[in-house]
Amino acid sequence: MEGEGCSYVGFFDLQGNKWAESRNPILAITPEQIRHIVNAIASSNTVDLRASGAKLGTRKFICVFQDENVVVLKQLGGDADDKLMVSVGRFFKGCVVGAAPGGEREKCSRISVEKYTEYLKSINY
Amino acid sequence: MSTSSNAFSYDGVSAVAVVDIGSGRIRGGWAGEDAPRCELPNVWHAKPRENLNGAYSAEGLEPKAVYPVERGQVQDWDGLEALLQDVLDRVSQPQSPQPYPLLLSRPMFSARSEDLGFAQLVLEKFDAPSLCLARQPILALHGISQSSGVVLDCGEGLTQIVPIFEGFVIEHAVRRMHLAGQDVTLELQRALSMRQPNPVYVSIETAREIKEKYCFVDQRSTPKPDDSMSRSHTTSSGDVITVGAERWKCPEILFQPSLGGLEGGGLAQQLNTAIASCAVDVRGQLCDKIFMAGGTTLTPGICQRLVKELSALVPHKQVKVVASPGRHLCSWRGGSVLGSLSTFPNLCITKQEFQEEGERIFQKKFQ
Repeated sequence: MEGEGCSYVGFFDLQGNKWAESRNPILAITPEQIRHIVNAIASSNTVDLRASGAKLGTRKFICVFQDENVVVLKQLGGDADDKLMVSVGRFFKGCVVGAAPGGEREKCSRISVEKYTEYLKSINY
Repeated sequence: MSTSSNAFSYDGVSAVAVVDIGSGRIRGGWAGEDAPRCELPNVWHAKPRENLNGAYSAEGLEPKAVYPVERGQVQDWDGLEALLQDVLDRVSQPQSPQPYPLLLSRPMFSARSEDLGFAQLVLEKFDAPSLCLARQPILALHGISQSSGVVLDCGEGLTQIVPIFEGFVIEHAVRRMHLAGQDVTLELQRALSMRQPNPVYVSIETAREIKEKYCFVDQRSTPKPDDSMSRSHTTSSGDVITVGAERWKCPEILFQPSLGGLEGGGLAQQLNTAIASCAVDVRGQLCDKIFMAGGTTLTPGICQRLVKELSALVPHKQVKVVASPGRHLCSWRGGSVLGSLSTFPNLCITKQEFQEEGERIFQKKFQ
């Protein structure tokens, strides 16, 4: 995924425990933060990221897209050259987080995350 | 507007044709220019068709008016192809290479099958080397050099309310409504024909003409009838039509759709709903940056009424509505800006990509 334009990639279980992540962990994500997002994807009626947004590490994000598989978040505030676009995809056993810098590459996060989420779900993982 | 060179510039001449396809009008020109070179009504007069015996049928003697795009949806591909070809012929310049890339504007959430139809038309029939399909409200924001705000794009057949944050559409908050200029025109036509004691029957074209010349949005939702409001309109055939209360009553359906028998909330309510659907942190910022686009927003008084109604709905937020003078051209201008960027080729589907990947390429490029 890093080769596809993402600057950070992380795999977590549904409780937010880290399985693997990029060598450059630009987002210090906590398990609670992952759990909050994963629950929102699973039950968009009870947890609505669209109104509340989400936090990843110390960064605040707003939700620009959400469906039953993926949520796409755009960073609020911060320096223009340090802003991130983050997508989180939920598969059966965990979730994948992909972040890309703002600008031209930002849609890479959604494309990659959707691709891997779809693949992992297709093999019932 | 300055033209930066990109892969589609030749000797400093832009070679990207930009066509804004609206339900009411179709505008064509070249990327990097300030204004479209041609603007035509989106209506095609189909030639009489021969029947199987080579004779014209009775109903086929007169050219038939075809509206290729209605409410943002393509209804007649043959008509659209002919119209698009006509626009491209009119804007063509001798020094531009043939064929050239095309940037077409499309409404939000247009059907994938339609996008595919455009790709086949442009890349296969017109033999263009590449195609970019861009969403009209996003282009409108580009056209006024902004990256965040709410675009209220009220055109002829469709109203789109699109919150955009730093270039990204907040999809779940988008509103797409079948409440726009043509509804005001139809309401005016109906009101004139129902008027007592002097009903007037006018064509849809005449009704549109009267609407554009005399209609306005009143600042009160229930103004008192006033004879001084009456205006006389002379049609091309010399008939004189007097319009009175219809001048404000008909555009009122934009704010009170139920007056015209339409469902759903008016512009201010829908705008409020769209903003309220966005994250709490950006609502204030969005209320402060509402941009008008589309021909129907040229109706006098619409901007002030919108500010008034929206301010009442969100009393604790500052409401600012920006109505630039050329807002009916915003989408085209945005296309002109986009088409002249150095990164524009990355946004295009090339003929080769389309041949190799087919429909899948849309997911990659236009997500």
